[in-house]
Amino acid sequence: MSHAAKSPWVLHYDASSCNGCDIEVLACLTPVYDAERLGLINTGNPKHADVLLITGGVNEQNFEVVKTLYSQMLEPKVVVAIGACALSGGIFRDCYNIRGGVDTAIPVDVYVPGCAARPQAIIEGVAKALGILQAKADGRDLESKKAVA
Amino acid sequence: MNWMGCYVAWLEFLILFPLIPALLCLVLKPGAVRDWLVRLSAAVLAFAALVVAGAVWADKSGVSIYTVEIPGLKWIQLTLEWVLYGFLFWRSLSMRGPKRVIPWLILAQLAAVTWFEAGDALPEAHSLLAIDHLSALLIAIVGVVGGLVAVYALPYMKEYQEHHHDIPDRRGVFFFLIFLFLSAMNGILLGNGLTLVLFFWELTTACSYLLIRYSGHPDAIENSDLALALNVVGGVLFTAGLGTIALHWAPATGEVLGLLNLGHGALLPAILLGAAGVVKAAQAPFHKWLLGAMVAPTPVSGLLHSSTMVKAGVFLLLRLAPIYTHTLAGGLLAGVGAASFLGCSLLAVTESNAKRVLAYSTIANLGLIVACAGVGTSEALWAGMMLLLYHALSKALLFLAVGSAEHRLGSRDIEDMEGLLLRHPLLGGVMMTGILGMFLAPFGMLVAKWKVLQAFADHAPLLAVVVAFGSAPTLFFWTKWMGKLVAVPRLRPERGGAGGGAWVLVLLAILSVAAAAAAPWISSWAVEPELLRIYGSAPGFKAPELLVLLALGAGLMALPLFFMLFPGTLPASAPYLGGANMGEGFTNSFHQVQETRLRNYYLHDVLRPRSLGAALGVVGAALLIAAIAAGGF
Amino acid sequence: MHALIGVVLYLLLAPVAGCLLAGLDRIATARMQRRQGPPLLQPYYDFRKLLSKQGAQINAFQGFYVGGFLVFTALAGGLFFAGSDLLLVIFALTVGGVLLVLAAASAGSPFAHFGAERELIQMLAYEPMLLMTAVGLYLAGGSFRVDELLGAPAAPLIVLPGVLLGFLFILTIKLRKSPFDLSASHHAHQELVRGLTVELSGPHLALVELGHWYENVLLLGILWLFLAPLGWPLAAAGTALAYLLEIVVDNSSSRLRWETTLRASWLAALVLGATNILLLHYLQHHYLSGGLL
Repeated sequence: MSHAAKSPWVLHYDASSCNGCDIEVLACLTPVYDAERLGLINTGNPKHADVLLITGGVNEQNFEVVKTLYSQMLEPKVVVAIGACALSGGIFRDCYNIRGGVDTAIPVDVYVPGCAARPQAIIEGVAKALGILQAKADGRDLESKKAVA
Repeated sequence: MNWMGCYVAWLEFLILFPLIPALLCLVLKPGAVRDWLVRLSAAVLAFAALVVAGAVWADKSGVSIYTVEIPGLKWIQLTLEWVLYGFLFWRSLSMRGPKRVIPWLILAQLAAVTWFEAGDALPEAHSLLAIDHLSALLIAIVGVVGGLVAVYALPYMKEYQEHHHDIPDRRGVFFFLIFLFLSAMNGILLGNGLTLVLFFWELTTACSYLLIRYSGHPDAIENSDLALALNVVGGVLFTAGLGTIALHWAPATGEVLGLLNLGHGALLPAILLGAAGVVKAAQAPFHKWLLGAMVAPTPVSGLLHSSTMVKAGVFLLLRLAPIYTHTLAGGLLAGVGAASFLGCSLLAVTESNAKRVLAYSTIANLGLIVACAGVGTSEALWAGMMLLLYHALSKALLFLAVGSAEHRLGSRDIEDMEGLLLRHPLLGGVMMTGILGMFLAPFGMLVAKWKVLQAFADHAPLLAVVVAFGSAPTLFFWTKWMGKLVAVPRLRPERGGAGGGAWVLVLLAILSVAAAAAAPWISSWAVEPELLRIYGSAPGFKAPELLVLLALGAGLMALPLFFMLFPGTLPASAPYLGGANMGEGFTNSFHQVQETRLRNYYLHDVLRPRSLGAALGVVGAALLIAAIAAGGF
Repeated sequence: MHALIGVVLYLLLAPVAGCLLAGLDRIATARMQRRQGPPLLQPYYDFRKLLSKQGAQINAFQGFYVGGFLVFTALAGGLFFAGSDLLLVIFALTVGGVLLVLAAASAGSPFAHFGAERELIQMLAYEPMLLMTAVGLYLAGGSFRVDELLGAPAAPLIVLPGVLLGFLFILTIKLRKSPFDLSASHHAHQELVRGLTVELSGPHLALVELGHWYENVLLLGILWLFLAPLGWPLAAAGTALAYLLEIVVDNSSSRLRWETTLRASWLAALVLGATNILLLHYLQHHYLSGGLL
């Protein structure tokens, strides 16, 4: 039984967001909402992170970057797409440079809608992601036990 | 085992034998014959040195003194001195600026020496040669390290001449000087007669001068002149010390050991001789000559200017240390050493030229030994002798490794040695072993921080404070260098030299590790008996935790050798760089690939090397003058 | 015998104590910022999570360096709690620190490179004062050995106020607290200011955390030496107070530039530590009244 869900370290990346959702994410870390109650720490390093909080849509410039960051994160990991742009490209969907939501680049586990998404919704989304993270971690445990046995 | 009878023959052999290969190297043409002559002579010298040292260590009874009956020795010595000083006088005539006074200093010195010997102003030295544990330790170092460096110099100088077509091939002279130097060095270590030691002392000055000058380039000429000038000043100080005896300002004796027997009564000559040692060991304010000497070919730096000649300076100080105990003059002399330690450790942080870093580090380590000699207690002397041994081994290794790296990479800048451990595992590995030996394994940091601090904390807390401040920068620049060696290498053009003589490097590395691991035994066989004889008590490796640390330290030192055998593979995962730039090089926002360099910190703004160097000179000079003055009263 | 018990207890209990200390640290920080903060055992959850993550390394030797750091740090603490020579403890601790720097330097990434350099600057900054702490305790207590210092008649605190203040100054650096958290800050976890551990991940990072717990317990042990003869309730209270002070300083200051850190540390070492030592030595030798001095 790993402790993945009790110690979710977050990588917060702004793909092409207007920063509205980013401000709401940062608000979650402030004393009012205090996400550190859940053990959440905002690391700026994919190698340390378990949860990727990503805002904004994927465009031509950040397509590779998002994939690189995701690949540099270590298993088990979950992705939370925050805000309308991250879901599907939002109101910028038809722009020439926007490919779409985050799932055009990497697999997404939780979608948090809103423009901008509210801190309460973000926290609920993260909590859901932690459940998925825990399941993945248990799955890995099970697999490694199977491999040993 | 009756060594006593034939003993003196061995000592004479150590001094006189190197002259044979020296002269032969002058006449033989370059080729296999000369090469094998050098190799065999080096082996013979090393063997003889170890036999003599081993006999002393097995004996444990203390000092052995010998009279040498050679008819007319006095006149032979005087004639040789006239030749030597005449040669130096002639060479120094070309000096300009403040150095114009040097020829006249040499003449004055010659006059004084003639008065001492022909005019019988100094008492006759009855026993010309002597050996005790201190000299035995250095004899072993000179023999082994000297032999190894001489052998290493064969392929090194061959490649050196190939790389530098503008330098005439005078390798015959080079090896002549190396062997002449080894002879003179042994003379200093084994000599007991004061004027005899002075003669060999100045002979090493001449050898050093000529060897630094080898390339004939303007910077070599300038720096050899500086080295000569400063070392002549040292010789004058030595002569002044003898002069105080001749003028009856100090009790009469013609022998080094005689000074020791006189104890505090011989303080004034002892301080002057100590000052000469300070010059030879390139302490402040005389540190510039050693920095300048780095233009010489690397075997010269590895032999003379780190493991042997400069050690002659601290050898004299350690010899005379019992006279300095509990005196103000000795304390001030220790201050010169401590100031050099602190100042040169800080200056080493600001250098990226590997040889200059090694030079500063050498001066700093010698400063510690000088400080130990100045304090003169049993603990301090133990620390000093152990530092002497381990520094000689690791420093020689490092200089030779840097020399090979220079041939291999085409540069002696530390920044160009990035990833050496992965690019050239053997070279990188021995270099790391050398660095680890310098500051990590027992006789870099451990003695400096432990016994030295303990010895100083009791008697001179000011010195302890200075050592505390000085050991921090040593940590900084060695780890900086190691960080460069272990980094992931970027592709860089190399000169691609062959780098012969690798086995010498490996042997030196193994010796350093073995010596570190064998420290308790080295202490009890080679060092403690001397201290017991002089002080009646000797520190040692009494604490069990020390043995634990020793074992771990030696293990850590051996690890680069392990890396050599099992070299690491290239990166498994790419570095983090904001999600971009995963490949080779840095792609900028115009999608162009730019070259990147990661440079170490050199702290020029914080440390201000020029001002620091100047301040160091002033402080050193003031302390030295004060020490001499204190010795006179 | 005492020594062996001390070592075993330290090796087993220091991680626990270090973990709880880290947890208390985070809770106290949070409360000072008027928020709730994580649960007490959060550092333990972090540790377990890191252990269970997939491992990745930037080169083949990184594990060796990190392992070496842990071994030497634990060794240093073990030596301390076995009552050994304080200078040997500092030496072992420094070896561990160097290995950690090498772990970062071997990554070849810009952030790790700068993290390594900044960590070296931190070491350059605190090393003189750390050594002078040992020298000061020696002058006050008559021995470098920890077991003998514990039995000293009077608290070194009384004759070593400068050295104690100097030690608290560098304790801020060693505990990686603002304003001196140049290379491995607790607050920001990014790039330059977390450079030391940027390329370490998963189990390696867990081992580094463990090493830091061992180190923190050791550092508080050294602090305890100043207060020990006062009796253990007062010593414990004093140590706790000092740690709380560190947290307050951490929360109320912003990070200094490395040049300022270096200069300030050496100045503090000189003014607080060196002066105290020289004064104490002078007084001891000229007023040989035994007892306290």
